[in-house]
Amino acid sequence: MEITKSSNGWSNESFLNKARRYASIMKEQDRDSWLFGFWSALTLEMIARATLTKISPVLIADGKEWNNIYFALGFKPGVSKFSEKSVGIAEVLQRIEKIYPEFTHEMFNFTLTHFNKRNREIHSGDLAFDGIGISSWLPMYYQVSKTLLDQMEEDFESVFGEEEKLIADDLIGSLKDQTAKSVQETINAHKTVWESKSPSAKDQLIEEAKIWSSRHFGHRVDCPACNSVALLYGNPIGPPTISVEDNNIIEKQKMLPSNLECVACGLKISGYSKLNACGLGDTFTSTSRYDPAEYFGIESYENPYSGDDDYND
Amino acid sequence: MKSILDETGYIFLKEFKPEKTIREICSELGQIQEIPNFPIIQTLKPTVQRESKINTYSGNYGFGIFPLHTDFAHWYLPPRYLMLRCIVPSKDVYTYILQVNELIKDLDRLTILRAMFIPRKRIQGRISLLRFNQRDKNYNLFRWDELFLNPANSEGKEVAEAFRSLDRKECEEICMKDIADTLIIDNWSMAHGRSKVKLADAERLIERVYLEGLN
Repeated sequence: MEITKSSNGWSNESFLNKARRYASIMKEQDRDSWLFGFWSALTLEMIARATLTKISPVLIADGKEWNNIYFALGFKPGVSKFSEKSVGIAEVLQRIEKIYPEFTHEMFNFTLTHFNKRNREIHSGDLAFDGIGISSWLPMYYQVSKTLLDQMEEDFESVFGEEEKLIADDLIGSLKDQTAKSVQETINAHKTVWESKSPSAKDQLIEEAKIWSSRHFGHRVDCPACNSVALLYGNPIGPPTISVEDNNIIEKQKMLPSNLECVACGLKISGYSKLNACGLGDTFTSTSRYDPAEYFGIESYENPYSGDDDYND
Repeated sequence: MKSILDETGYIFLKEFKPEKTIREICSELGQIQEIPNFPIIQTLKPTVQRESKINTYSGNYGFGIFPLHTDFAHWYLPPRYLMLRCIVPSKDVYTYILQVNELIKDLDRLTILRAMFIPRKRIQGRISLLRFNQRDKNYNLFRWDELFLNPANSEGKEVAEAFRSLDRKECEEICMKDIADTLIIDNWSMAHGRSKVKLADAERLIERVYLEGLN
């Protein structure tokens, strides 16, 4: 292996080491103090950047300037006063969401909100972390941190320590319980309303749901409240598989559920964790058929002179 | 040879091919590691403190004991192997070596995972945290150097203390007392040091080369 004097500041190792340092400072703070939240945001940013750089440091390079990519590849740009620039954290999170299906949209939204607080703290006179109880964010924070560290095959405790791991396990467990309880309450409420409908009203709604689902894209499932046909929507995970059948291009894409909608009883469930809690968390496959011209974006060629008698001999 | 080193962390070859130069030995056994701004073959001779550069072991310890350390511990990826070859022997100077795994066997797994150091000086204008046990799917290395590293967290302090409080009797002692005695050390898994040097041994001369890999 090539000896290296100093690490590229964008290496996975550098970011994780920084995360460890920031996590130590975070844990030294009083949990009710704004400093706990502030350092938690800095820690999570390091973890997020480490997640992308585990694949390659190129993934955080700001591609608008090629020298940033060159730097990410381990080279020294021959530009005077070069200062490497990486993409903003929102872009980092978007890339993570696209690459790692385990990092759900809910986690994306939470993390972005958490980072926005950090930005407000640094860039404004607002006290972004004051007055926010940890119960409102710490369970999800640990779930996000653990998910990202898992993608890197990095032990949670190697960043946060053993003691904090025990706390995190408890909080993540309670988050799952809360989610399960909340979604069950929603399902029960819709079930109760459904049961109160007359048989003829139910039959009509069941029929309408069948027709509606046949006209919309989505994965058909039984509604957990009324058993009618409901539609599950999702986000793509992983690359699609492509095959050819009867001169058509078939594209199959694995999807991770994100929303459920039932037009019969009106039940709507949003978010993977809630869907998973009520047994609808399994991935499904979305199949699309294309003709080759459509798939490859080939415009059909028409002879511009066809039918133009002026030029026919 | 590589498999022996992987297991034991070092090989001591007694009066090994005295007719050959260290460069020839290195070419036979492996691949020389070139280090920018360093000669390929370095000669190590006991030097009094005041005559040595302040950023060297001689500059700090002179004829005294060199504490256990790994070479270039403050570099992100240090050289893998070092070869020491005796040119002018001494019967009373010892190289101490120790498998780092032995030293840390009583430390908590998390202490080992989390221990970090900071180099005392910027390198190439930058300074980064360095893990005591830095690993990747391609490598697994330990680093320690009293002189060039400072602990960066409580776990780092624990590791530093483990090194400082080690009883030297726990180390292997290698005496390069004959010409061409050759010692190859895995710099990623072994720490090494040197015993005190008496004035009578002031002419002791060792050649050192770093190796990138072994055959």
